[in-house]
Amino acid sequence: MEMLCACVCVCVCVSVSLSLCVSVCVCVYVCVSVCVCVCLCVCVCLCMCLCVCVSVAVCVCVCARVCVCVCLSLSLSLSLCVSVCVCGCLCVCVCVWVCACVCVSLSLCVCVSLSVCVCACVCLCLSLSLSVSVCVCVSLSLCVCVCVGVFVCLCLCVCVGLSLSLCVCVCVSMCVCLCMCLCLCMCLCLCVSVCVSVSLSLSLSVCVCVCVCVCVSLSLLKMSKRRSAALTGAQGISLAQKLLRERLCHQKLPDQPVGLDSQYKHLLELLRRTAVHGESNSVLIVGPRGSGKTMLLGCVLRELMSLKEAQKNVLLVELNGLLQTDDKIALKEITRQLHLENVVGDKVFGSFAENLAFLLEALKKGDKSSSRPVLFVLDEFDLFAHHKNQTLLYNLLDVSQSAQTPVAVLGLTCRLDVLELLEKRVKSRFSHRQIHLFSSLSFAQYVDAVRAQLSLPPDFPDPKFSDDWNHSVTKLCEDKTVEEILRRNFNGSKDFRSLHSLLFLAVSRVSVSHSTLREADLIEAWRLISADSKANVLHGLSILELCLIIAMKHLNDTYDGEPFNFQMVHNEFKKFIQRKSHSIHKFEKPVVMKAFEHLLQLELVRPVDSGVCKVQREYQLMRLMLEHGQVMEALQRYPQCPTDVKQWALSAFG
Amino acid sequence: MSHQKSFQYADLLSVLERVVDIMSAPDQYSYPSVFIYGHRATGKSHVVLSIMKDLELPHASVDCVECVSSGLLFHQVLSAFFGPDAAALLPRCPSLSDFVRLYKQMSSNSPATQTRYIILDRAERMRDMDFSLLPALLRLQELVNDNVTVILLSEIVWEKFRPNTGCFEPLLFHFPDYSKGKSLVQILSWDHHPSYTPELYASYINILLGVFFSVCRDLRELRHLAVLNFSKFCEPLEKGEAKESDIHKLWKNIEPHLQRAMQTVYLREVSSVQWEQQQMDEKEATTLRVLSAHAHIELPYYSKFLLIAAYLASFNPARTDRRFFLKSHGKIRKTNFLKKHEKTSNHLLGPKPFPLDRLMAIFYSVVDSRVAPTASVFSQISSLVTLQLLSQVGHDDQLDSPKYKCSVSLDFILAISRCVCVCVRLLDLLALSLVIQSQVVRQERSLFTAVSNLHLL
Repeated sequence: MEMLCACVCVCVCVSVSLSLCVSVCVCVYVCVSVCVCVCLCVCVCLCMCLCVCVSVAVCVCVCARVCVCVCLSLSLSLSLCVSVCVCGCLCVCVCVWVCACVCVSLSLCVCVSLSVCVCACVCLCLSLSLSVSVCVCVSLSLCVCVCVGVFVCLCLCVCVGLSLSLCVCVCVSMCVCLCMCLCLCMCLCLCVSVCVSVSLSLSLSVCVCVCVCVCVSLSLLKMSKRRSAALTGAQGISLAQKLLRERLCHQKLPDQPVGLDSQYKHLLELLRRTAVHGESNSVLIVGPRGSGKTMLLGCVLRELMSLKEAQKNVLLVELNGLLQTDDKIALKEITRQLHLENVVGDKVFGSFAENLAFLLEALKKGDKSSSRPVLFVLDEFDLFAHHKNQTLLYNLLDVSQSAQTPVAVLGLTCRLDVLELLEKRVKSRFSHRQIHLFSSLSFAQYVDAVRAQLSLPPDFPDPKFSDDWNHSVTKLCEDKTVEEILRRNFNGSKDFRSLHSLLFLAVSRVSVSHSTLREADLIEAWRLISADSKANVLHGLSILELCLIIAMKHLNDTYDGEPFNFQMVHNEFKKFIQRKSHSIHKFEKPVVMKAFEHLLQLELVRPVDSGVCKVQREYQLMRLMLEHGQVMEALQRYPQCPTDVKQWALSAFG
Repeated sequence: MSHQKSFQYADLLSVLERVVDIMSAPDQYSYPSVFIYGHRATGKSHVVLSIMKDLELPHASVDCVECVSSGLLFHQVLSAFFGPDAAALLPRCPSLSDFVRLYKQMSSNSPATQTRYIILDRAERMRDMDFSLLPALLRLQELVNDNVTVILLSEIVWEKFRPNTGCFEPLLFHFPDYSKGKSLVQILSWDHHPSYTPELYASYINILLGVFFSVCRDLRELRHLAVLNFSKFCEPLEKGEAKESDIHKLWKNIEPHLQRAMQTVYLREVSSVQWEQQQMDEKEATTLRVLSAHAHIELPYYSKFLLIAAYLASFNPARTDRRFFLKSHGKIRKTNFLKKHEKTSNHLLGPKPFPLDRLMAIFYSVVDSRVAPTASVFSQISSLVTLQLLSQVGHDDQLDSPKYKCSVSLDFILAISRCVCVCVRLLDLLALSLVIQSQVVRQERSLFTAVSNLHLL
């Protein structure tokens, strides 16, 4: 405090001396500044306007400053002596700022660690210096007093630490001060050094404010983090499940397609040329089911639509071969998606081509070069080839060939031989550009992809939970049994969809009682996925039906897979009953027939040529839809299977 | 099942857990399609629907048997989710495209807060509908961009559903069957008669299962049979001939009755009303009537012979005709008389077609009295064709030498020939022709005894 008092005294002395010299200077330049004053007031007004423009959220202090400015300008414009007074007061203010800066630097030197203390010091110093300045400038007008009060408020605000608004205020105040400085420069070249000092002091105060606000915001952040970390386990799990389910079920687009970089670039470039330069194109994306055709297209379209020139210009028409089963429906859907229902109205068209041409004409803005590009996405492209005369394909590809409207036709299909389905006239209009998606992932990459699919993102609200989860996932992927399961799945198919169903089953088992993904979950999911459905059905058959299946198996073995009829099966069954059976009783033929028909209904047996009603039921030729191994395995698993039936199944000749 | 099922069966429980796991988070996305399969009456739709009800999930349950057109299906789904007003917006013959468009429009107005479920019972019928319906419904979530899951219920395995070029693969769940004894007895014992003890009913169920279990495991059918035959089981108790503890006596009483039920009620040859009627009759006069439909058919005299002739023509090789139907057929070399392919019995391979001439030749040799080839005889052939006892092979417009096939079974022919058995030679012929066949049929023996008896006479 002593130091503070001392420094305050020094400040007072300095300010008094400074104000004295400045006033002397002003007296010297009184006659010169008569004309300059007018300019000054104009400048101040301009500054005001600028201030108003710059500060959107005009705070109290800004208003105060504006008031000050107004007062200043008023006083300046009113009379010369008043302007002198104002100059004096300005100088005083400047002195005060200098004092504050000195004080701040001093206090900073004294106590760097505690910003609050600094704030307090600043506020103290400022208030002290202000009071001093008030003492010195007895002749100052009321508005200056108000200004001082506002300054005090401002300082207090700094102390309280409403950081953001303060920053803005400070910035605004700084610019105001800068403007004032400029004005002063225009009128008084002497004040340059003072200005520099002012700016320095301001920057220092800004630094302090920033420090304070950073501290405050940090503490606030910490508080909020602590609150989010207090999420219960159940909430964490449900959040994680929501995220993973969306990823595994909903086919949410990934940030970047995995392992399809070259195809991605190729397609994007193609579509970009259509969207931006107005080139027509046609391309087929061919790949097996679940290989990511739609995902790739979705990613490309997302990127394309983020381009500015494409965003407002490109029209997208999405058709699906499963939904638009004929060309009439497809055309209606195109009209709807182009929002042209009103334009078409009740017009009657002679042909399909005429109708499509009309639609495309309606999209033109005027001249040819500026008509809007249209992207036609045809999902399940092969189904469109089955439409009558392939009218839709012909017309779309024809438009894409001739330089009319810029059109891109994108086909998605899983059939490699799709070009063979096209008629010659359609094929010749297609650009023969194909993008093939065949997964070239190695097993290590596949496991990495699994890990990426299961991991929670870094911006997950509960960092502790996500850390635990990700750690458990990493551990899981290194596990031997899990690796074996993944390898089997990988050898079955490399696509992600089968993987998703496996992971989904595992993820859906996670609950509050076990909050991480365990090895057992994945094993259980694999057991469900890989279960042989026909073996399951065989397990629930009655003994009689099972005996008939065995009889059919024997017939298949003896006659080398030739089709059989019910009479043969019954004959075989009767032979078994007569020779070997002890446990199975004799059944009437209609009862056996009913059992046989149940097998037919379950489609374990299938007629060779269906729809022949002239043949009697007994003599209709059938084939068994089961493998030798499946029958034997079902027999092993069958509950309480009689031994003689087992023996019969194992014997080589019926 | 009207009963509340107590889930105490281990494998069923594990499946239930999986299904509930998937449905337990209704506000989150679920897998686009689920396929549940299992045998008849294993509780597939009951379980799924009661889960829906208990968790109060929005769902539309559609039985595919009811949906003769896909339009009905769309109508039911839309009205279940968005009310009848939305369904009324569908055009007259809605295509899948219309449905998806309307669904999208509706769900954008009221987006799903919980997963919506479409439950399609007996989904195997969907294969007969529009080819694109099934693949489109399997990926409906993607098409309408809404939180919707399609659940398919079926008896048939998923492999039979997959279209040629593949489709979105649903999650598969298997509903386990009732393995022997305990669970089935337990479930069937639930509907015991109030005036008898549960123990008695349980022992009755055990007897019933002893007869039917090796043939049928359908819970619904077994329940039906149990209810139908219980009054017969209780008869000695009511009369006071036996006590509840005399299980053996009761068993002896009911066992033949159940065997008979297997041949009639189980095969639906008589309706359950007829069966009960018959039980009442038996109380008055204990006569055993043959209830088979075959025994009741009545035909004109010549028609019967025509049918027998057709049967003989269909199942005997033409080369043997001379031997069977000519009085002086001369000497026949035994060796290589029949070619190799003729040696396998036609009773295994089915009837062979024959020309009209051959039928008439056999007919004349079978009928004793002389029959003039009048129009009435020929018209009887065509009426046999209309009755579907004979079937015409080839085109109908073939007038000069039409070919026929006999389409009745051996039992039927034997029943007819029993009616006209005044002719010894005919039976002889039938027997002879059957002996030629390698197949040993039970009826042959009785036929032989009948023939020898007639000879003795």
